[in-house]
Amino acid sequence: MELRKLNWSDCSLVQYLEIQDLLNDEELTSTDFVLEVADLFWPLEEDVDEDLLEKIRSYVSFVFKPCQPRLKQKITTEGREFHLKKFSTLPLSSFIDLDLTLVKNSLEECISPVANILYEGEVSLSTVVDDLFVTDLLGCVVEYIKYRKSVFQKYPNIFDTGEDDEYDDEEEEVQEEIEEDVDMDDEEEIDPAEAWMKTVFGLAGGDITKYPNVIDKPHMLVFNWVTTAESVAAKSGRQPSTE
Amino acid sequence: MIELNYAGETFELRNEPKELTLKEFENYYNIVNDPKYENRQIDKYFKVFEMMGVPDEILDALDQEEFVKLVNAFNNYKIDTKLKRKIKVGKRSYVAFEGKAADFKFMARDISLIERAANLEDGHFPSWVLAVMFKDEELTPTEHKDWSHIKHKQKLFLENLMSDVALPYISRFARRQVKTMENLQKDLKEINDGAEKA
Repeated sequence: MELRKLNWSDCSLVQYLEIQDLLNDEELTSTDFVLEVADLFWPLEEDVDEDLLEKIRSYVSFVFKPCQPRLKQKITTEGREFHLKKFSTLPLSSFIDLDLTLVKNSLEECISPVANILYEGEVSLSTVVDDLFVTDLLGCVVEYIKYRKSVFQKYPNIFDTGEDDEYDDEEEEVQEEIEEDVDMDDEEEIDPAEAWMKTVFGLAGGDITKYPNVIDKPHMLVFNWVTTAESVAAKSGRQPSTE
Repeated sequence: MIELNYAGETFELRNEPKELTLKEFENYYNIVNDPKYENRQIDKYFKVFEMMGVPDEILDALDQEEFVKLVNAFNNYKIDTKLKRKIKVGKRSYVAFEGKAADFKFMARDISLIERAANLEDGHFPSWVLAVMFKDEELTPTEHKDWSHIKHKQKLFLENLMSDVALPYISRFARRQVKTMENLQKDLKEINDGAEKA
């Protein structure tokens, strides 16, 4: 790559992750930082003088601005195409995988596994993901995060946390005040994987042979089904059945 | 050199860079940059003159006007901006650069090492600069970069060199750092202006 002013759109995922590590490394001097970043793009074999160093510093100053994601419906690399799946048709299994990935990892750790689930091609995206542009990969992650939020807002009751109490807004405010005074370290944290297992267990009616039936279905169909079952049960005054 | 006369005796107050040892210069440097003296200029220079060995009898005899004149005279020294290329300490020679002083440029690895030394904030920045810049002619580039070797040179130069060797490099390095900061501020401003427009 020629020596020129760079942008995040020139960065691969691997370079992006390296830069994040460098930005968090408090031991580095400012010149070390510039040289380490520069080395990711133009392997510098010999020492550089102060004039060239100043140019390089300017060329890599993009690291101080936010990375602007761009959503790509199709990614093409090395003659291969990868297409973005329609989010609403993702099977429940993928929705759960994505949810657990996003909940348990930092944004940087999520990029590769999330993109691997959301894009499909002749081969797995994971074989080429490290060399893809980070702006493209971040595009799908950011867009999916928005989509996930909208799903949870639309179907707030699909996630079985095992908590029986439901609070109205005023009660919830009081509960939050109580929780601030109580030492929350002792309280058992809800494991999202376990909560999803309970949800799927309930949806399959406790019948393991029905497990594939549930998780292979599009998640929106499953959530609509559950919501409809609850609505019908509420009207008839009995517990909903999801068998 | 400033001559101070009192009671028939003369005290020679050294103030030129070539008259001050590197150790004395670092002590001076640390006093004048000590934040506790920010609003205590007179106090600061009393400390400096005491450090330079000026007898109390002479300092006590100065009125305010005379004291201020002495401070101005003390700080009225010429810095030779010419960079020394080669020095000798003991039996070994140390070289800072090849070619002409007029063509001198700091190299990135040296800048990085000087920044590392500056971060130590141990009051020995001038001797660290020289320790980074002057390289033993008999050693390899890898050995030049070894931090324990640089540390050894820092102590050696502190005890054996005069401050006129260090001042041109410190002055030159400071100018470089100021310029870099200005450019960085410009770049960051461009970035922020671009972000606001977006």
